[in-house]
Amino acid sequence: MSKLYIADKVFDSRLFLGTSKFSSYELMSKTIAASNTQMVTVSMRRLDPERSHKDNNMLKHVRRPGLQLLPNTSGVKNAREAVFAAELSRVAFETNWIKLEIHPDPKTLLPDPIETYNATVELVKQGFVVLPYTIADPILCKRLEEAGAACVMPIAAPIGTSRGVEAKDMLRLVVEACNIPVIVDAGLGAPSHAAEVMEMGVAAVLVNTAIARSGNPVEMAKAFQLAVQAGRVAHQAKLSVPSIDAISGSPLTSYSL
Amino acid sequence: MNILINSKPLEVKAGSSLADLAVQLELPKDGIAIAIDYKVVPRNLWGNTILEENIELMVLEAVSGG
Repeated sequence: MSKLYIADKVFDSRLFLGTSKFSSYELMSKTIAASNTQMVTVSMRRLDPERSHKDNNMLKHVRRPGLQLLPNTSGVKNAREAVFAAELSRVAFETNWIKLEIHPDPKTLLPDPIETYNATVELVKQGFVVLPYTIADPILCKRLEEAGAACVMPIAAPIGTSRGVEAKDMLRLVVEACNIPVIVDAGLGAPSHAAEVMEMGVAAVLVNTAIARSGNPVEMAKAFQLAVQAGRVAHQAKLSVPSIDAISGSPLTSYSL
Repeated sequence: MNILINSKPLEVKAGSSLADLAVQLELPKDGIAIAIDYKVVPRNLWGNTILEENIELMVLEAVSGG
């Protein structure tokens, strides 16, 4: 499978993983290993000074050689807050990579396109490697590319829904429009969904709920990795063109006199 | 003296630095960010950043996320 280039990094795996919703840090760690992923998302929250933090070891279960951390800005409501969150993340995680997520409506968790664009412009100026979470709008994605985003991360379906590739036609348009990698983020529910978008020419996928909340996250992670590879190889092999009419592959031999 | 961390009060010794605060709270060495007045303080400046009475800090910690 061909390597994926994002900013100054090269990835062999086109499956990226979210770290939330696992039943334990141990399971999360084993799943990261089983997935062969090379990038995982993490987040931040306000610390409670009344609680003990001696055993806060989430990152110890995540960090490993060759794994890129991708902090997200989940919780911010606008571009100003997103820039602040990115600055905090840069110090906390020692990376200038940032998954720009601005979803002010908790019911839909859909991205605010205007704040996302504005934040991308500012964060690129500040030297961040910006991976914006966005709607599958080819014009918006092209504008994000022009603003300097390292890739675009359009949704297949709303976060956490596992509904699959609801935005299929729009994703196809995004892939056609963009020169930077298109990483489908959110809504994928099954390995077949991942294969479907990879066949379309999407560069990679980010999966969280579908793996973490499956019956066996370690095995599901392996399944997603296989599906991502299958989809990528199929895309490069060029799928045969569908036909409305049936086209026989065997001679229609006559068996009557 | 009293300071605020994420709007919650905390008692610290007068003259404490951010580095002293990190020790007091047993903060991990990874995944922590602190801001004063929306300005992020780099970790290498924690020792030089002395806290004043009633200062308000925003302290963030790493958590899992999608």
